Amino acid sequence: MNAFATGVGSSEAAAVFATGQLWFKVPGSIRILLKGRPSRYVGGKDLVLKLISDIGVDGATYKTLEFGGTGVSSLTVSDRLSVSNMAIEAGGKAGIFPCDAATVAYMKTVRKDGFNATAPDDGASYERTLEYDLSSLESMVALPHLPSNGKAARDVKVQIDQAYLGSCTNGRIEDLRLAAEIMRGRKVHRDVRMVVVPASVKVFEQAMEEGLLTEFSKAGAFVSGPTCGACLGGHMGILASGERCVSSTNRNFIGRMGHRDSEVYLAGPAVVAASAVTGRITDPRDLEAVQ
Amino acid sequence: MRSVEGRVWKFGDHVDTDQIIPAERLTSDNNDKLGTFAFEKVRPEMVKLVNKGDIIVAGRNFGCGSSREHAPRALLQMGISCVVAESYARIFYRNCINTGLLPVECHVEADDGDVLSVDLSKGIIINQTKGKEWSFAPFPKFVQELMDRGGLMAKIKEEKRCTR
Repeated sequence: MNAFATGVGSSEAAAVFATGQLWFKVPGSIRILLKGRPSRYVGGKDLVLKLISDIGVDGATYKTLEFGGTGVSSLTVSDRLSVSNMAIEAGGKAGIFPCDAATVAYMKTVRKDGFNATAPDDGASYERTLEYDLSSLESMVALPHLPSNGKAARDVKVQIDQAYLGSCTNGRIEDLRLAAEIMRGRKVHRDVRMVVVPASVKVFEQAMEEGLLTEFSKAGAFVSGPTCGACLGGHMGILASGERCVSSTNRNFIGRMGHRDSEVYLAGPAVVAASAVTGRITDPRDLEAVQ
Repeated sequence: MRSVEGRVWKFGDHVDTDQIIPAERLTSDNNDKLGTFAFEKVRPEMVKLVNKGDIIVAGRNFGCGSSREHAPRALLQMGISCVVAESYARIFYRNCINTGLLPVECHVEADDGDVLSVDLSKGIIINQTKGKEWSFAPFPKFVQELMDRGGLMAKIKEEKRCTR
């Protein structure tokens, strides 16, 4: 999004309420220039997994990732939110996008009193600049146990026990629509447990109104209310020893979703949906050929 | 500022918050015994063998992952006095300062069981076992003050004259 947003601990959050103040080091910035348009099933998650794999889980430590370039307009606000959400997985302090028509349209749905758009200063200097052509980006999967272990989904041959769709990282309405489209007329594989977790009550209600939740349920998935759920090993879909899960969440550390001998493969919603159908990690482009 | 001395527990790069304290242990009941679960999935023997004042030595990006403050609190409750790592994940670093666990940024040579002393005001680390010494940049003044006063909550309670 077009905002500086960063994480703080719970005491610090309380301290803000008490004092109205927080301390920060001014971060250096890394420029990420995007061009081109991603192909049908490729989105923000694939971009951020590729980026983290390129620069490493500490490639942006203490720094801001500043996105820009002509390719930004081809990413939906949901795509951008997934990227900003996972900027921290590269060690980043924040992930910021420029404001465009899509930002303005989105902000009208969440704020009635307007907002101030922000843009880089003229002649701003960056510690480094990376360029990505979205049109050549592949569907990505990050192998256990770091988000930087990215590979093209097509090159990953792994059977799965669970497919986890949703969460704060990829549980927005566009994510659910894309997954539902891929699963339409298909069933969750008999050996797979699929869990669907909308990111918020608002998304849950919208998905219900659009009939998406019914579609997921009829395909054999379990639909949950919005919750952190099994993403951090909380509840509903905790992995047993030896189980493997393809998940649209943001972290795949050792034991993150349950037993220390379980494995989490991070991916975007399209890969999670396609993999739920086939029972193994699948690039959605290959789904027709599989059946 | 304080000086600390303790035995070394050696870790590698990218030690994440889920390794430090698994999320399923973050219940209200466990609030005062987080230390008993620290590293239980990756180094289960550690909690039984750790001595009060021991020091963790790690590589890059220590504490990556969640913003959960339970991670530094679990290490403190376990008896760890100080972490010496090449670099830190930023929220973990802040949470250390705010909760009173000392996060020193420095590359040192040490193995499990070595005795390390860390002088925070002089910015000097000595590996007593190996007889080697390193220096690190001292913390900014306001961070030193924050840690001397026992962390952020202690400081604010004092300033706001909180009675609870």
